[in-house]
Amino acid sequence: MCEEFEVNNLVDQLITNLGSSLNPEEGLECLSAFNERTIKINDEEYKELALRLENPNDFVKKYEELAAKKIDVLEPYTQLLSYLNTKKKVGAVLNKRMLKMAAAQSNPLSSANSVNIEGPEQDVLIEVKSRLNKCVNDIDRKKALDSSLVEHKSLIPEFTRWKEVRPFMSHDFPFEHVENYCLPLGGVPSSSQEYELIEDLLCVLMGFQGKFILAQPITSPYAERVFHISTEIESSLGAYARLILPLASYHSFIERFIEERRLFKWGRVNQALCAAFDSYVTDYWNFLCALESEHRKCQLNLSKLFVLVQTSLYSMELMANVANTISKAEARGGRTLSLLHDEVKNFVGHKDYKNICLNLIQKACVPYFESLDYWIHLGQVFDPLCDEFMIVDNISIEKLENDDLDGKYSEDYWVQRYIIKNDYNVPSFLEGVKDKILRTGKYLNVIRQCKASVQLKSAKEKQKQMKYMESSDNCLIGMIDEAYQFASSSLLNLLMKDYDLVNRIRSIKRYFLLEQGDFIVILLDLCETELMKPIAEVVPGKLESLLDLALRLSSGGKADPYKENICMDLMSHQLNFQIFTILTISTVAENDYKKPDLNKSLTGLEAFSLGLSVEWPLSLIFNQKIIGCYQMLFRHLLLCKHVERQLCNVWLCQKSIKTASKSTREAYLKSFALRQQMLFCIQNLEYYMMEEVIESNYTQFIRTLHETENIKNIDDVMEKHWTYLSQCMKECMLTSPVLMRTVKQIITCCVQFCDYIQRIQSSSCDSSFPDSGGVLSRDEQFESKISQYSEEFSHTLLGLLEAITQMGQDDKGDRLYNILYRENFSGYHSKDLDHRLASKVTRKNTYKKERPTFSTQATS
Amino acid sequence: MPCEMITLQLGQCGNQIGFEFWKKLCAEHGINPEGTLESFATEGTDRKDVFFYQADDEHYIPRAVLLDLEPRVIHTIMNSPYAKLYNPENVYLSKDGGGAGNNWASGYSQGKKLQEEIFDIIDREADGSDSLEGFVLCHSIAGGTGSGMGSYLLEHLADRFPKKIIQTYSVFPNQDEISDVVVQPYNSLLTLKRLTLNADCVVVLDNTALNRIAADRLHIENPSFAQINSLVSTIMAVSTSTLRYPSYMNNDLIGLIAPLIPTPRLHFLMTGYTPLSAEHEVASIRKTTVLDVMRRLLQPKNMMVSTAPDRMSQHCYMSILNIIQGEVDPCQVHKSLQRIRERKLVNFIPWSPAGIQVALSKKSPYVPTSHRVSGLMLANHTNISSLFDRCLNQYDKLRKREAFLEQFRKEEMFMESLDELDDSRREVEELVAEYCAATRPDYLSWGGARTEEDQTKSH
Repeated sequence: MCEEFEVNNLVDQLITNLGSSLNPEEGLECLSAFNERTIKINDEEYKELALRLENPNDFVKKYEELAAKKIDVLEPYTQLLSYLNTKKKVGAVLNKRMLKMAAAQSNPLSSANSVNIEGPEQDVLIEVKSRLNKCVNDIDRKKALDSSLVEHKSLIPEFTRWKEVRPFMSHDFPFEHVENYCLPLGGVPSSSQEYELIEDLLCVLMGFQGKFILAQPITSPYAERVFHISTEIESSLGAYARLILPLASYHSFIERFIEERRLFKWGRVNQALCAAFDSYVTDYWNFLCALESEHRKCQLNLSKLFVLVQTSLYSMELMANVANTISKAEARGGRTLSLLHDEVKNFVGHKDYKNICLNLIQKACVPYFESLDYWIHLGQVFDPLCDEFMIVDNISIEKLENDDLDGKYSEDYWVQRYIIKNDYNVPSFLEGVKDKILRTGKYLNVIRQCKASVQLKSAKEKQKQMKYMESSDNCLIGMIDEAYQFASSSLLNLLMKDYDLVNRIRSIKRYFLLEQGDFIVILLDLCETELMKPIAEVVPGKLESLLDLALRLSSGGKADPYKENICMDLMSHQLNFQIFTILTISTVAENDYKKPDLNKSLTGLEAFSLGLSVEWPLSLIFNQKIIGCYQMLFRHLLLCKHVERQLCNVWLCQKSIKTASKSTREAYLKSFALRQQMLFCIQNLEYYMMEEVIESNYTQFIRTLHETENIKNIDDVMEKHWTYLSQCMKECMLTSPVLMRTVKQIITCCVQFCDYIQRIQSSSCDSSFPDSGGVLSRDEQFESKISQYSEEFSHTLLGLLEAITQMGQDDKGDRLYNILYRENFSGYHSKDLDHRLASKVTRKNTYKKERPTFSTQATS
Repeated sequence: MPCEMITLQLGQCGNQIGFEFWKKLCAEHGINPEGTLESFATEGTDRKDVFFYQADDEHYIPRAVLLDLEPRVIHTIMNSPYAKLYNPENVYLSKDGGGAGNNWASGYSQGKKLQEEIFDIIDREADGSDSLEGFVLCHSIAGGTGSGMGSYLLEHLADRFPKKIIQTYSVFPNQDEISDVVVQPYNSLLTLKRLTLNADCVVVLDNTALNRIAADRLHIENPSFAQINSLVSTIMAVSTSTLRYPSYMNNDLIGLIAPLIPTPRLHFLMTGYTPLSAEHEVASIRKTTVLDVMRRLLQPKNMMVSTAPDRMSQHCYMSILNIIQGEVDPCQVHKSLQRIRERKLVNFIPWSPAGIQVALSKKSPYVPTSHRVSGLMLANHTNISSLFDRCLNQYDKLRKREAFLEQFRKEEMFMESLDELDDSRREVEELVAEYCAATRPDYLSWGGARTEEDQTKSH
């Protein structure tokens, strides 16, 4: 539901920003239509797109350049462009918008990309904006991460650049610049020309300059090498030579690739790939040697040579292509594997050549799989050359935690310590299981930290080997699954059995959700006077010790071994603010929550909350967010309990009135009735929240926890826990700003009434009861005050009931509806409520239509 | 430790009820008759300290004061296996041992005479508790000691402990049989005045209804006192169960009774309990659901108060609290309430919102029951005034004849005049009138309306 709200909101904003008259539903439809369009952009559309531009050539060039780099976002982007191109209406809106926008407003998109068809594209802009925001959020995190990585990176040894130190060791035309001219043939007869040419060709195929065939220096690092054949060679021979020469180009390219990519900085996967290439190159040399010996025996002519090299030509072309793709994408690590995987997948051709591809990727996978093995079987990140493996160990998190929290870990640790930093490091054939892989290692790490005795074995020790296979249901996935099962079930066992999770959750419910009712009674008995003071005057130490006492005195204290974990937590902000910060409610009405009320200083009661100190790995389950939710519920419930007690105190105060004279008693009747109304309301609210919401949800939560088919790993537990809490908060009305505000008003009204009565009572107690004759004015004042409170109270309560009635219309079966039954059991409010609802209906047509704007109205 | 309650047992009836009550509490908390904890009960999460305190040797001692003017019942108690349970200092027996002769005035004046010693005991007991919440008084209103001395105590407890709750379990005499106590109407009326003015909450236990229930529901032909009293003790135990087994709500007495009693004088509560099964019959165990329990609780035949049939059908509930024990799903409770509401099974006061409050309470793990769900209803119903009306009628009959007044005239209070009787009658009549007024929507402006009425009458 929240997401729906969010989307609605965004569309609404977008449309108002665009200054369009489009109605929101239509806009939403457009957007979803676009989302569903996943068809690839076809050439025609692409051309059409290009045609609309001022300089189509630039566009095409840029597009191809980006395509070569295999930029992932390119496709969706062009899709968007093409979509905008076809939808005239959107185009018109955007055009209008563009005219409005001053030229001074620079468009980040235009600078980012020279292609720009329709000027400012607002929705793209907004998307970019939101992404930027997200990025900014991530930046701090990443900064820490990067700094640690940079530290690490500096440790990588520099591989000797042999190409520079010993240029002649290269097999890629080391002398390309030395003698850049063809030797004069000097009238060699054409019959001997063939022999010389073969000699030369063999030389060139080896990667050295020939006499008549000259390798031209390459223009760019990944360019194809071109050769110049002496013009004196007979043209028929030259033609043959030209047919064979691509092999030399391919070889040159592969050699170049090997020489460059085996450097440490390109990572182990590329090194392994180079080694694989190398072995093929060796075969190629052997083949050349064989050719040469044939040649020496004069058994080779050009046409035979041409036939002989055919096989090599194909295989070398294949490898050169692979090398080319990888070079252009500047891939390393997992990305290299992804590209290789694409090659394998898309390969159509003879089996032998396919085997080359397979062989290449299998070799290249070896170092990556070694890392994977370490990770999924031992929980260690093994990535010696940095940034190759998908998982990154964010050591800085541990440092941070250690500094701040005395070695306590928290949710941050769980989420940020090990992350998949760059998605491109995930080989595409592991994309589907990347979360599994991440979690497997995470679980192992937690287990290792908590239980030293656990024995972990790597695949090597288990005598198993991970191997790349083309089909997706291969044994690699099987091994990952197996490792994952092991890790998740071990961790789940550890937490459920060794750490007694269920009982801990129950213990927290006892104290945070007030199931241990006598605890709250004792606590409030002990602390109420202290808590009524403004927060500045509260002595935390005293409260802390009183809380301790209450914990020990309550009957659960004896039985609950986990009560020691409960501690005190004094909040510096109102409950509203905490709700906002933790839940980040995404409606416009959240403004209610956002502003911490600075004018009013908190009382001890408003600030008081319980805290929970648990150790790793329980802090994983009971992380800050979860504890925050428990605290919010606690604060709300505590406030209700406090009000209930105040009302009961009023009852106690007023009970002696029964001995007073009849007229006095009659004067008090209205205040009795109001007190009864309030008490009835508060107690029913409490009953609803505690028994119907918390207890029901808890029972359900615990039931799911015991169902093994639902709970397979610790993330499931966390998810279910969160569902339980968020459901509780939703049904306790904490998440709805409108309802929450009304409940708050009801409570405030009750508190004011109690204060007033107690003030009156204590002043009249001294001078016995007010005599109806003597202090008539005082009686009248009392009466008007009571009816004022009464009116305010009924008004607010009716407001709440009304709001709930309307919500009930939207989704039936909502538990909130129970409140109506309880508060209006005898039908006392029915008439007023119907009246209010009826007048509302005439005011607005139907509620349903109003709903999208409901939240905005609430704030205005 | 909060919410401690001191139980005062007065007279023959009060002590008998009390005795059954403590027996029940001991069983529920796993305390044996000597006051030590049974080995199986050491891990409990119940609150024993509401009604017990621990002696130096860890024995559990009831916060009970046993008072009587004649030795019979107290001797029976002291000869029972539970003799060692009580603190002997809290057992007070008048030295002359002559009893009150079923005379309110005698009980009252003896109470006055013995007040110092009695309040010594009560004060000591009150000082011994950390945060006393109130007193529970068990007595009958018909006899001499419970009614007379009870009245004296009530008057002075309220003075001495103005902020404490005074709850009574008052046994009303059986109207169906002719009492051997001829001055019963006088005793009842005089006690009723004190209950109206000085008690904060009176749980009315009507012997008429109790006998009827024993006969009709439990199929006991001639119910013994013990059998009736065990019924009463069940009610007392269940109505305090939320205090003794803490859960989300109703963990103190005030939170329990405040919502039941909107206006301070109308504090007479009816009770109902279901399902009832006597020890001798195990056979008829029905399937009990929450709805069954709640519906049965609303039937008059399960009420422990016999009220006159409400011909005008104007009488209504001011409040209801159902204490449901057993394995209960809150959803079932909600559905049952919904059903009851749809069927319009209950009438409520028109001048304030009201409803059936539900307290879900745990059961003692040590007392096996054959029923899955059981429920106690505490209700404030305006028709209880018919009971008082009956008292008034009986009083009027007797008073008209000036019968049996000599015994009263002997006592100091009535030597000069019988004003006290007239005064009591006025108070009780006013109480009945207020209950009737509470059935009307204009109750809150009751005073104004009534004076107009009076004026029209006088014209």
